[in-house]
Amino acid sequence: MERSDNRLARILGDFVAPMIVLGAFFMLWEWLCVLFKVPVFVLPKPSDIAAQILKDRWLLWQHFQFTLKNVIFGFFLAFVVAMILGFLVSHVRLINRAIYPLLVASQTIPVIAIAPVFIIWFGYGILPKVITTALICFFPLTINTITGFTSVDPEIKTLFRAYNGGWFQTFTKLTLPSALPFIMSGLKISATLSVIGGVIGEWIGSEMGLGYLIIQAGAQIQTARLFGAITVLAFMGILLFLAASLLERLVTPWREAHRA
Amino acid sequence: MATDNLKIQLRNVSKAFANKGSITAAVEDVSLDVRPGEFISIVGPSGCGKSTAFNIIAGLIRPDVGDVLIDGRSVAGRQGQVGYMLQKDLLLPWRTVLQNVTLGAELLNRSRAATQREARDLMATFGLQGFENAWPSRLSGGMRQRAALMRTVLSHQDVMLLDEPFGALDAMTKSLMQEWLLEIWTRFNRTIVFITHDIDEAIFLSDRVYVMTTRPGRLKASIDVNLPRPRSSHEITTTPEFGAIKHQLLTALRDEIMKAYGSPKLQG
Ligand SMILES: Nc1ncnc2c1ncn2[C@@H]1O[C@H](COP(=O)(O)OP(=O)(O)OP(=O)(O)O)[C@@H](O)[C@H]1O
Ligand SMILES: [Mg+2]
Repeated sequence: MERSDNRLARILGDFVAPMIVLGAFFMLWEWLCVLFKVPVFVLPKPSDIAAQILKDRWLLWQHFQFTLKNVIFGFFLAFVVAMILGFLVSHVRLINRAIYPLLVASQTIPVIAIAPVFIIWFGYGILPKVITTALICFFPLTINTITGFTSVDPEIKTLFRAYNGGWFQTFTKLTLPSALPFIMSGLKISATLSVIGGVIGEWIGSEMGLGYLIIQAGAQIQTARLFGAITVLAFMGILLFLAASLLERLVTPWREAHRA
Repeated sequence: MATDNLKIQLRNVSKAFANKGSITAAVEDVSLDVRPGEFISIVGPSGCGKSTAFNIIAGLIRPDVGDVLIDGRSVAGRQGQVGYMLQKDLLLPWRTVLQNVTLGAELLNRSRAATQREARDLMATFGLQGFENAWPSRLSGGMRQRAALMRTVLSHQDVMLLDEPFGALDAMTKSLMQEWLLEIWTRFNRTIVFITHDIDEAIFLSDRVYVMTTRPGRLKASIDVNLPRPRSSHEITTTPEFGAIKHQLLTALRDEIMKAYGSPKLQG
């Protein structure tokens, strides 16, 4: 009984506190706009944005779906690549030495700088957007996966050896579960970043998506619509993060018990 | 020598480690025999090679020289022949208590159903009833060590190697665990090799205590503990017989520890 009370209090704390801060922020914003009579095309009031979102709901929904689909595909592509790379780098010494430095070096190239190349190669379809998303997502995922695979407790490894545990048994019963918490944090970071990848993909060339909508609204100085699209993007990021957090709870339930 | 009725034999075992050009002799020419069902302890100064000897019996380290036999068969470099437990409980945080205690049997490919059944039956004996489905993070230190020991028992190996299993427990829990370990040992009829720094613990538990020298670890003394069994309580530790054995052991050990402190090799 007491535990569930605490839990309720925690959830309330988790949600209510940020909501109050956000609410205060919006109220201040609204009030300052009114006070200084800021024109709508410079900075719309939160109430203007809300009204615009309501008006644009169908439009936003369509672009939201398009972007979300690309982002999810890109995210999965990154996940698959990260698992394979993470496994190889942490298990094969030669690959570790050959690839790890390149992996890190690759992160010094801004994705937005190479993104136009994908347009040249793959045209205006879904593929360039998926690839830019994957490029943004794969690094934190790969690094976390490598960390996970190499963070196995050596004494537990010895215990497995003492009981004659084979390679496969050791991998499925020790290495993988040891790595899961790390993979899950990588997943949460990537989930949030993935939205950026999707938007970049649309900026370099697209006729659909929230990124495209932002460019369009900006060009036409429809500032309220621009802010509306940004709001929906933020919402998408939060949604993906929550999905990743939910997956984390499902996949590593023992850590939840530890925290409570 | 009648080798047939010996459970464990170390025959002139030596092992040295090469480390950045320098060579550390960890164990040198150690020979010892353990009969089935015996409880023996090994004591010695820190870093003298106790765990190395232990790992040689477990097949985790191959001796440079000599041989190690279990039931008369060489097990040098062969794993999966003994039960194995360390000071750290090494419970897997992602497995429930029940899944943890069956891990050893599982890795040895023993029948899953039979192990599960036995584990459930033994939960009470190991003071873990009601915690079958709990995560290890919920257990106290003593409970964690009991779960680790249960994993060792359930692996169904005749020989159990315990390397300072109670080293991290508080005095009270430790003495309870010792009494309880003797019950387990009697009940399951296993052969136990026990490593400890605690002389009282070694005497209270064992049939025989081996003293190792400062590195390189050789056997310095083998002292029989002829105290009556069952030794169900610690009252026995106040008897003059216990005191005499302790005196013997301390004398043997003190020389070694003095040597260790007098020698610059301690840090090496
Ligand atoms: N894998 C290894 N590689 C190199 N040196 C090692 C290795 N294992 C042990 N040694 C060295 O061998 C010596 C004996 O180590 P061991 O762990 O057997 O001692 P111990 O008696 O168990 O000590 P303690 O009582 O502190 O547990 C030490 O000097 C140690 O540094
Ligand atoms: Mg040791």
